[in-house]
This record gives sequence, C-alpha cells and structure tokens, in this order.
Amino acid sequence: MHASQQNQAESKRQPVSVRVDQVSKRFGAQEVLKNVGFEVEPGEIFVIMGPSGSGKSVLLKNIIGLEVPDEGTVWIDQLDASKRETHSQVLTAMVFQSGALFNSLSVFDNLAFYPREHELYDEGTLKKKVDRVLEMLSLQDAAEKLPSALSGGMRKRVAIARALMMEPQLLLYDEPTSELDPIMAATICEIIATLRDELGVTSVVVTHDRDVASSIGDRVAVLMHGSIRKIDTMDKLKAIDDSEIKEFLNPEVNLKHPRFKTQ
Amino acid sequence: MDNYLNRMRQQITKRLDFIGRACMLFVEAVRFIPTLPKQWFRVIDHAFSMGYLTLPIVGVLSFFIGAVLALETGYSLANFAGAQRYLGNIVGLSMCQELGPVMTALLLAGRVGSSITAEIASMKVYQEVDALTTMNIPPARVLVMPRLVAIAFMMPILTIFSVIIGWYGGAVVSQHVDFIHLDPNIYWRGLKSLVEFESVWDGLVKAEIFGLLIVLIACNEGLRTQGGPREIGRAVTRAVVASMVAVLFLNYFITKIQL
Ligand SMILES: Nc1ncnc2c1ncn2[C@@H]1O[C@H](COP(=O)(O)OP(=O)(O)OP(=O)(O)O)[C@@H](O)[C@H]1O
Ligand SMILES: [Mg+2]
Repeated sequence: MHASQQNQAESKRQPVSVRVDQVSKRFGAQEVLKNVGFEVEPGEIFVIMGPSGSGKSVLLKNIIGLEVPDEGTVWIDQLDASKRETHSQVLTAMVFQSGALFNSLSVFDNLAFYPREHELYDEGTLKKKVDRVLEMLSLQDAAEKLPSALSGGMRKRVAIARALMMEPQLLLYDEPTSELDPIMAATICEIIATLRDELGVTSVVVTHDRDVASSIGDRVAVLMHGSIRKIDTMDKLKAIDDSEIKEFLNPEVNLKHPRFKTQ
Repeated sequence: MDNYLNRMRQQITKRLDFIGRACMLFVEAVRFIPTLPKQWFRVIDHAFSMGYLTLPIVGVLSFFIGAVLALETGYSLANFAGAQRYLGNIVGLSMCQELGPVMTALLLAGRVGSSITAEIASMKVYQEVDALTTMNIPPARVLVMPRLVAIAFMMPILTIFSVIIGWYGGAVVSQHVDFIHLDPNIYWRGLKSLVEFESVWDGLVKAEIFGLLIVLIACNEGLRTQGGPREIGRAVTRAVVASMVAVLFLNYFITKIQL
C-alpha cells in the first residue's frame, strides 16, 4: 500500500490547486467561518492574514481535512479535502501553530517518523535526508533532544522540518515565523519560495508578519470575523481604501490612546 | 418525569455510543495486525511497561489475597475438626478461577489503563494525534494495535504469576499461623486434587478478555478526549471507572458461561 502511495506521489508530482468553495464552520453558537471562498493556483504561495481569532487556523484545518465544513467544500485538485483518501492521493502537510511535535520522540525521530511509517527509504538514506533538512533549519545540534528541551522557536522549526520530510505537494503553514528572529524568518521565507520554484509546492501561509506576506505572498487574503474581506497582492492591499484593513496592516502605536488611561 | 426519562435516554445513548465506538476502534486496530512485523519494537516496549513493570505489584497483591483468604477461611473452619485440610482446595480454586484474573484485571485498570489514557489523551489534546492523521498514519495503527497485542501477550503471564503467588501466600499462612498449622504437603495435595488444567485455563481466558477490554477502553477514552489539559484527568477517571465496572460486570457473565 505504501510503496504504491509513494509511486503515486512521484508520478503525480504536479502542482496542485486548492478551491475553498463557500465554506462555513460553526462551533456551537459561534460562527467561525462564514461563506469563505477562494482559489489557490497550482504552485502559488497564498498568504492569509487576519486578526487573532478570525478563524485562520480553523480554515487551515478544513483544508487539511481535520475539520469538516458545515457547509461548502474544500477541493484539492477536484478531490474532496474532507475525505482521508484525498490526502494520500495528493500529499498534503501542515505546520501546526503549536508545533504538535511528538513529545516522546527525539527531534531526529520526529523528522524520521513519516518516512519510517511509510517505509520510504532505508535507514542510511533516511539519515542523510533528515540531516540535510535539520541543517537547512540550523537544527543540527538539536537532533537528539526531546521537544520538551527546545525553545519555542526551535520547536517551530522542527515542526517545519517535519513537514518538509513529507515532501508534500501542498503545504499549509500556520504562523511559521511567529516565534523566530528576523534572520530565521527570512530563511523560512527562502525555504517556502525554493520549494515552490524547484518542486512546484503549493503553499498556504497564515502569518501576522507583513514582511513575510509581502516578500513571498503571490496573493494575500485578509480574513476578518470569519469572512474574506479582500484578496490581492500585498502592495495593492496596503494602498486599499478600507479603514479596517488599513488599520490592520499599518497599525499606529498610540500610547496616548484612551484605552491605556489608568483612570 | 419527562425530564427524567429524557436524561435516562441520553445516558443510555451515551453508553451505547461509547460501546459502539470502542468496538469500531477494536475492529480498526485488528485490521492493522498485518503491520505487526514493522511494529515489534512498540509491542515490546509496551509489553515491558504494561506487563513486566506490573509484575511486582501483582505479586504483592496476590500474595496477600491468598494469605488473607487462607487466614479467614482457616479461622472459620477452626471449629470443624479436620476441615482445615481443605484449605488448599479452597485457596487453589478461588485463586485461579476468580481472584487471580479479577484482581489482576482491576490492578491493570488502575495502573496500566490510567497511564494509557493519560498518554493518548495528552497526545490528543496537544494535537499529536492530529499530526498523525495529517501524515496518513491512523492512530489505531500506531497507538492502539501495538498496545492490544502487548497486553494479549502479557495478560496470561501476569495472571499465572498472580495465581501461583496467591497459592503460595495461602500456603505460608496455612503453615505458620498458630490456629491453622497445616502441613504444607496436605495443602498442596488438596490444591492439586481439585485444581485441574481446565480451571486454570478458564481463568486465563477470562483474564485475556479483561486485559484486551481494559486497554481498548483506555485507548478509546484517550482518543475521544477533547479540550484542554483538565480533560486529560477526567478522561483517566472515566477510563478507570468504566473498565473496572466492565470487568466486574463481564466477570459475572463469563463465570456463568464457564460453570
Ligand atoms: N475546537 C474548537 N471548538 C470551539 N471553538 C473553536 C475551536 N477551534 C477554534 N475555535 C474558535 O474559533 C475562532 C477562531 O479560531 P482560530 O484558531 O481559527 O483563530 P486564528 O485566526 O487562528 O487566531 P490566531 O491568530 O490567534 O491563531 C476562535 O474564536 C476560537 O475560539
Ligand atoms: Mg491560529
């Protein structure tokens, strides 16, 4: 089963598209996503920005099939993303906001987990591959450490590394640079762009970082209160005439704001 | 009244739902048995922590159960001349058919069931299970199946160990307590005369069912956990209570069938 899966993945290594078709998602009384719809082109880097709590993570979980939309459908290359088979036909991976590392396994074993379970390589090749990915993310010294012994930013990088080991066709990043210093953040951006240029990986990147969005985002969607407010290139978005978006993208620090008055 | 009926219906639906899910999980896990050759290292790991590390406490528990059984019975039989000669028969049979399997199972529910639920529930809460799912690795394959196989191997060992230590506990008490003072030869002869292979086998079958059930309930509760860390504690409590009740309940019916 797994050998065929690998073959499938290799033979079908063409860039995939994503179509989010009028997706709504509710948790109890709270409507988290309301008729969200957009398309991601094959090989595109699609950035999603939006205030905290606007539903970005929930949207990614709907794309990766961990949550099922109440209404609407997410299509990955004409395949329904809520079905598990879809994700073995089109290889998809996700970098979780929290990392979601396997806490009982070392960093090396976290990275090796997917290829080992699916028997993709022999141990020698695997070690080389893992070492290369670790090096890409400057994690060589952490290989034998347990996730509990890592810093927040290191954990984030391990999560990215683990997703890279899957060599997916579609990669979803939930705030990949949120805990990283500017140099590391730039490295992550380079990796995302290189994956697209060399392997045609389609990426959906949730980020709060405007620099990340403008440097790698082909298009940027602004998600507010569970609906898409605008999709455009970052430059055009910055110039847009919508006060809420404007304030979100170019917030002014105002220490004299009434909010901060102590009395 | 209506309200009460409604609540009862809800409770029953919840139980049935739980049983249904557990059965589905079992079937799913069994379907992954062909992946066993690749997962021996997990099975051995679990067998070590669930089985081997449980041996000492099973030993202590069983020794004292056998001992107290001999003590109580010996005391009651002290008034009947010669009746104490049957202590071996009594301890022998109760240990291998009832006390050995049931006590081992209850201990397992507390010691092993709780730790399985805690581990899997925390993996669920911290999204490790989600990560597995996105890797196209079903949790039933890597988390549940190896544990079921491990307990299937270890449960008979634990039970036989428990039975033998229990017998021995009874023997020690029968020999050394002053109001019993039974010749160990008579104790063991009595035990051998009544305990047949079949009695031991019945106990082992029972124990095997209990073991699988406890691990299944523990895994199922763990995987069902949702929410924050507080839910992990709740899941553990639920798993332990549910598996203890299930063991006692099933024990009655299995015993009835085996009689
Ligand atoms: N499993 C869940 N059950 C109930 N409510 C949920 C669940 N997951 C998310 N929510 C709610 O959905 C809303 C959106 O959550 P989400 O995690 O998508 O936000 P976000 O845009 O990713 O925010 P942040 O930038 O802070 O990560 C929040 O109000 C959250 O409370
Ligand atoms: Mg989020």
